[in-house]
Amino acid sequence: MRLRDLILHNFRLKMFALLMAVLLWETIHLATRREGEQAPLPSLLRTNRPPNIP
Amino acid sequence: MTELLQSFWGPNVWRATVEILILAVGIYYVAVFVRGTRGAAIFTGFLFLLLALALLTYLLKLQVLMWTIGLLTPLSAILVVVIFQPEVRRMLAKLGNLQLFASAHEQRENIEVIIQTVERLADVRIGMLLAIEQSLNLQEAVESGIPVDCVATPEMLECIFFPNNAIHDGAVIVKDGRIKFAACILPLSRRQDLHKSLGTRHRAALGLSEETDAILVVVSEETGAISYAYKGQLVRGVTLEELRAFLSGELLPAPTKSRTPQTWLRTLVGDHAKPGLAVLTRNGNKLHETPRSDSP
Repeated sequence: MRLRDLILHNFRLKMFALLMAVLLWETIHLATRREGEQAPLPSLLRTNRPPNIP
Repeated sequence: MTELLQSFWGPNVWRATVEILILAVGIYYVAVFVRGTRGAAIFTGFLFLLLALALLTYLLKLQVLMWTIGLLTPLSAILVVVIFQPEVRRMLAKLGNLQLFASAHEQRENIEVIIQTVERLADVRIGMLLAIEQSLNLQEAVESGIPVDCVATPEMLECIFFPNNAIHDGAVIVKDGRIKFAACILPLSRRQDLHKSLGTRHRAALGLSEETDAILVVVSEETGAISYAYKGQLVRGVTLEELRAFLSGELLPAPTKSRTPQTWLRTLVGDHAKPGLAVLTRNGNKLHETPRSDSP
């Protein structure tokens, strides 16, 4: 009964909060991933040498 | 299913789920906190505007506007504090209120003093406005008051509210069984949906209850009807028993066993303000919403 109340009490608001959380998370996740893709490599990692092929 | 989620959320599905759940709980409690407050409409409007603007700038790729929104978003935190200043203050006060010093026995005695006073004054139709100070100091809210500082007894309170008395007009502030101030001018409620029949005394009670966590008890001079105001809501036409039950429920310390984290969070966030109309009229066991002033 208490678990049921925990889920069903203010159910609409809880669903709205979940939806907002997914949207927010997805937006931030996409933005950080895009930033990571656009960011230049740190200079220490950059090299002109060809890859070491055995 | 996991593959579908992975395509959206990357390889760390569980981490993403936990993050989303924490965010959802946070958003839910913020929504509950905002819902019952006076600033709810402003906050919702502002949020809607911000989201619509953000979506528009994202779709049309308006870089300058996007940059401006990004710059202004942290500043909106200050706006939130300004809009919800009374609520935030009340919440912080509740955090610090440990109820260590007032025992249940003392509080019961204080409640009985108030009940007896209300009974006497309602019988002879003498108007009364009494504010029971809780965690927030009411001295900031009252514009002027006469310091009294004496033990609160029904006789003393009756003396103060007796008509034509020098300090009968205005509110009396009671804390911990002592009358602190008399003849206090309280801030009136600015709500637009109040009935025209609501007098200054009731409006003042509602006004202070909107600003602070005080409990206000009102006796109407015209009808002798008893009302109480708390957290921005005025309940009119209550009986002495109902008033006693309400005061006991709010003033007596809650049993330790019921203080689970969930109830603590609910008292801190969820139940601090009541949504809906400001004035309710009690008729028997039912509460009726008082019609708006523009209705016949």
